[in-house]
Amino acid sequence: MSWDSFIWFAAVSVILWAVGSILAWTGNKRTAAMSIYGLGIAVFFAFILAMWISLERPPLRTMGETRLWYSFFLAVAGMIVYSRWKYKWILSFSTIMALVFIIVNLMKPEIHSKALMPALQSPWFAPHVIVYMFSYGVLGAATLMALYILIFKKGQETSDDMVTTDNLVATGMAFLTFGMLFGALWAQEAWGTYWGWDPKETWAAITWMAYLLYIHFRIARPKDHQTAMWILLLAFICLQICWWGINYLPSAHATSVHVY
Amino acid sequence: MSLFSKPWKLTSGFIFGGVFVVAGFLLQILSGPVRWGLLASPVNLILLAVFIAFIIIAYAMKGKVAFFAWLGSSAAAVPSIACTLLMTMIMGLTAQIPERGWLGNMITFWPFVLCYVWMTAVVGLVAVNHICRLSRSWKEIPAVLNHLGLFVTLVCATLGSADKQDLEMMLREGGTQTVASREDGTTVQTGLSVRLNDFTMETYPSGMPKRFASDVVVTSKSGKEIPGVIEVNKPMEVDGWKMYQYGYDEEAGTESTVSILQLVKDPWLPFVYAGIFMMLAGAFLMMIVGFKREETK
Repeated sequence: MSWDSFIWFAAVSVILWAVGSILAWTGNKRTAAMSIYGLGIAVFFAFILAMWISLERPPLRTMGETRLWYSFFLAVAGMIVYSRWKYKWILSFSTIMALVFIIVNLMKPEIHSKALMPALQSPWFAPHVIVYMFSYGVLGAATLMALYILIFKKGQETSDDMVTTDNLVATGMAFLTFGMLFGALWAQEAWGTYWGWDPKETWAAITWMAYLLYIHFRIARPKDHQTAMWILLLAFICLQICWWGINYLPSAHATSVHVY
Repeated sequence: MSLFSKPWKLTSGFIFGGVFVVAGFLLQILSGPVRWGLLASPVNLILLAVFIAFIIIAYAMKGKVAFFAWLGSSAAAVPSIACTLLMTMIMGLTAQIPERGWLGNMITFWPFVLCYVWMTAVVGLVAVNHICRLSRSWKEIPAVLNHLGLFVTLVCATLGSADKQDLEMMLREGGTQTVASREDGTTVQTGLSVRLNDFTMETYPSGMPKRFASDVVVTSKSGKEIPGVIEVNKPMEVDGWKMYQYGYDEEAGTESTVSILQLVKDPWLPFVYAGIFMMLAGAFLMMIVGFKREETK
């Protein structure tokens, strides 16, 4: 499998996701919506697997490869939220978000060679990045909830909306913690330092603390939904800086081993 | 906002944080940057005892002193996380190059350090709160693991940093080496004797490095000879020294007959690991339980 076939797999997945999303909007057809949407996820995952096999390494090294996982996990996170909390809009939004990253990959395909430098040849590599991408996907869904509450609900949000958001953050935060600590354990095995304040690590800590702030703010001021949602948006910006924005930060370019 | 009586709230927390940051600035001006090297054992052990004693006293007196009751509450957690977050953001936005002054060396910047100390004190006190509630409810377990794990990790990583030895040892094929050098160039007898049989470097067709490996025989203090291969991501451990593949003669490239190993001894590492594993277990439980709570309107 090569990157050239991506457009076909992506097209089929996006069409299936779109059909699933439309069925979700019309209501009453939850099983059909979920089956078709799930099929789209399976097609997308088939491409990831095929890339994995043909590259002879997990496709996790380049930015383009991480975007592949991000689109995948966004769709997965959307489906989990839909199956548990039945928001009819969530599938459409996660499809649109996944589509954005698919388009970025089509417009800006990056080198996807087989080469993997020695530092990345570790059993920690795949879990570290996959766990992070899943967390980013779930927290992307939490961001959609925040926008939905801030823009459309305007103070009319139900306690269910808040519980959904809190649970998405709790799940995302758990995986963020796994990702960060797997990274620390890996760094200890590779370099003898579990934490070195490399700019990527610093921004990982910032992102982690921003979501920590949300969780504790929800406990300290449970009724102030507005501020909580703004914290969530701030946290998502930190997450984006940590993931790719860091490549454009002059402060990071000077010193980071994580710029790629 | 009296220390003893009036209840401390979120807003007073932010004022407290502001005062802390100003105090940090004054300390920075008066005493210069934080000198982490001074923490070397036994200073770190004494500080650990003082810090834990403070947390226990604060817990015991929280009924009498409003400030201590606040310090272990979410109303203190929020401002302490926010201030620490802000300090870390400054670090993330400024290039960390010590020659560039205070902001170029945030880990020795007092306001940064004090915010972390404050957050650590809060997380420690909250951990004690949850531990003491354990007997009443098993639902406290995820919170105990999350808070205690973070507390142990932060405290041991920080206090232990001065006891960590991080050395470089240069080896030549066929030669034996016993000394290693610190970052400042001074040398140390490691107690080990390392013989390099062979250094191998493989590259991809593009010229990008694929694998470095040092085939060594290490003689331990007790005279035991241990053969092994050290590769990137595959360190070797002898007498408490972790030995990592670190570098080679870059000019010679694949023909290099020189290998540089990194030797690390970190006596606090097992405790940091204990903290990390507690946090991993806590995160796993949090994922299952969530943090949903009833909303009171």
